[in-house]
Amino acid sequence: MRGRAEMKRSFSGSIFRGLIILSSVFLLLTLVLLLFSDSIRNVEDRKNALLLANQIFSTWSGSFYPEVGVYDSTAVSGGVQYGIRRIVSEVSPGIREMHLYVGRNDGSNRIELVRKYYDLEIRNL
Amino acid sequence: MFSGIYIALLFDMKFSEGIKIRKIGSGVSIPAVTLALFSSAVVMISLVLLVNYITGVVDRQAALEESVQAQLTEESAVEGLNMDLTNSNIRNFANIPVYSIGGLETSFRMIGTSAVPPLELSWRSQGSRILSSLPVGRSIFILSESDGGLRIDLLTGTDVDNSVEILLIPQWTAEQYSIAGTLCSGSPVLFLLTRTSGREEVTIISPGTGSESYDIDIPFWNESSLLSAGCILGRPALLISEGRNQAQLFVPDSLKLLTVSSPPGTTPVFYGQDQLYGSMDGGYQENVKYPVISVLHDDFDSNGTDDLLFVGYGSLAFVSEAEGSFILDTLPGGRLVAWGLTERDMILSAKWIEGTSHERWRALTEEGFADSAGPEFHPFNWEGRLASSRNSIIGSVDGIIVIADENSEKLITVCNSQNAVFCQLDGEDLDLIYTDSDFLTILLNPLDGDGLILTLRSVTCNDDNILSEKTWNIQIYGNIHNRRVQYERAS
Repeated sequence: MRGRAEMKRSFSGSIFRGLIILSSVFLLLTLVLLLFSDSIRNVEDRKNALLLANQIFSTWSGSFYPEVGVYDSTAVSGGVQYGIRRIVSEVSPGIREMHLYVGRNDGSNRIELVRKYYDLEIRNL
Repeated sequence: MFSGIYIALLFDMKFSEGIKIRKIGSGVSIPAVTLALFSSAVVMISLVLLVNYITGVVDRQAALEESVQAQLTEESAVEGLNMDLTNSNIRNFANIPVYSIGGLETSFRMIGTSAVPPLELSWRSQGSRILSSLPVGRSIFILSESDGGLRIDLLTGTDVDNSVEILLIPQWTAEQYSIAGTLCSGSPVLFLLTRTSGREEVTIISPGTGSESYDIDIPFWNESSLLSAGCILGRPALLISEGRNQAQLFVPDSLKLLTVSSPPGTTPVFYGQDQLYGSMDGGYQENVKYPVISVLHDDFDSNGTDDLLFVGYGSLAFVSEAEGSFILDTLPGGRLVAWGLTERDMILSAKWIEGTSHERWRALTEEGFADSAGPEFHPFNWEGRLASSRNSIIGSVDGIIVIADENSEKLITVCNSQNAVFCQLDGEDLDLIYTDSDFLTILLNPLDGDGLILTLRSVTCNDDNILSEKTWNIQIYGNIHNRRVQYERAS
């Protein structure tokens, strides 16, 4: 009788210990995930920003020649609002450079892309 | 990992007090150690996998961003090369500059070169037969027969892939029609004059404003009538002429047609920027002596200003826009058969036939028209309009549009002259549009001769990595003063 009671006690103690250990492992994994959640969010933001930037550039193809200036706008992607800034400057007559910045509205996770545009109407003969 | 072991051992020691189960030497139970080690291994593997995954995702995102920038750098470089070639900034094709932007650079290497014939663009009207085409500015209106109806499409510039259907008349029963076009406030406008069951109607069609129709009563109108469209106070207007020096002016808001007159040997026309050649106050009496069959607008005296040339069966009238002078040339018993700019010096010349076959050339000089030798290197049986460049001349011979090349001494057949029309779609040089069944072809700058095709390999890289490599075909046409460049990615 005494042996059975000890075995029972030992068995329930093992289950309890097992649960404690598994919970600890779970907590540890959660902690690790939390440590990396910022990195994951950053990558997600940059991915969305890149998609937006690609869409913007694809609409300005062909004979597009941008006006010089600074232009700000916003766009929503994946439920997050992104700020878009275009800075167009003239590097030489008939050549303009556009810097496109897309990132979170607070300026974080911003990607920068650059492209040149040429005014083929200007001929330096 | 160690924290997992520590927690496992702590609990093991606490709960195993007084219990006799299997213990190792230090008093720790074997199952607990196994569980602890297993948990630690799980945590360790998860951590390594997660770190690898996150690092991979971050690296891939960085590579993706660099790849997009590489594409933009490459596009910028190709456009830059296009500009440099257009401006003749590159003299040696084996030494093309390196283009850099966004921290990346694109270089080009020539891998081949060959001659290419003048650029030909084709457009197909989805199976319906093309009835007429009319260039207006840099656009082309195309009328085609579609299942008993009339379809009107508009091509913009040389963008043959993006035509727009601007009007479809399902039941097209017109017995006779004529068309004319103009640019009104920068937008192309088409006049469609029709006669159906004896009723005449003008339809004004514009891609911006749609179409509107008006019933009119024209005293004269047949297939050889000359139509000229223009703008009066921002509204489109149409001149209908029999080729005589009096024409009827149709203005949509006006209830009746107005009469416009011009000097004998000419006919009222719109030209240039909404300018009207002719007088609306009845300044010239009707004259039937020199009927006009065609009107050209070009710089015929090479003074930088466009002029008007009125071509008749037996008359040629030159009106200088700059000087306002008027010169009428006629030959008694003579028949005008060919006219236009010929020779390297771009002389306005006209070919006359006296009697049955005696050929005589007359050219414009400072004193007026005088006898000339005609196009010296191109003694062909020219008919209709002629145009020349430095080494070649284009015109019609026996009903076929041909190009005579002085260098090769070849006569190149282009198309049937019946469905061909000269225009200036692409820059200042002459282009040719011709139709055949449901095909419309645009031959760009045929007088420039063959072009050059360069095959280039582009390499876009950062400091040490090649990010993109592509092959491009760059087509170069024209001369140093008017060079046109087209590029496409080679397949």
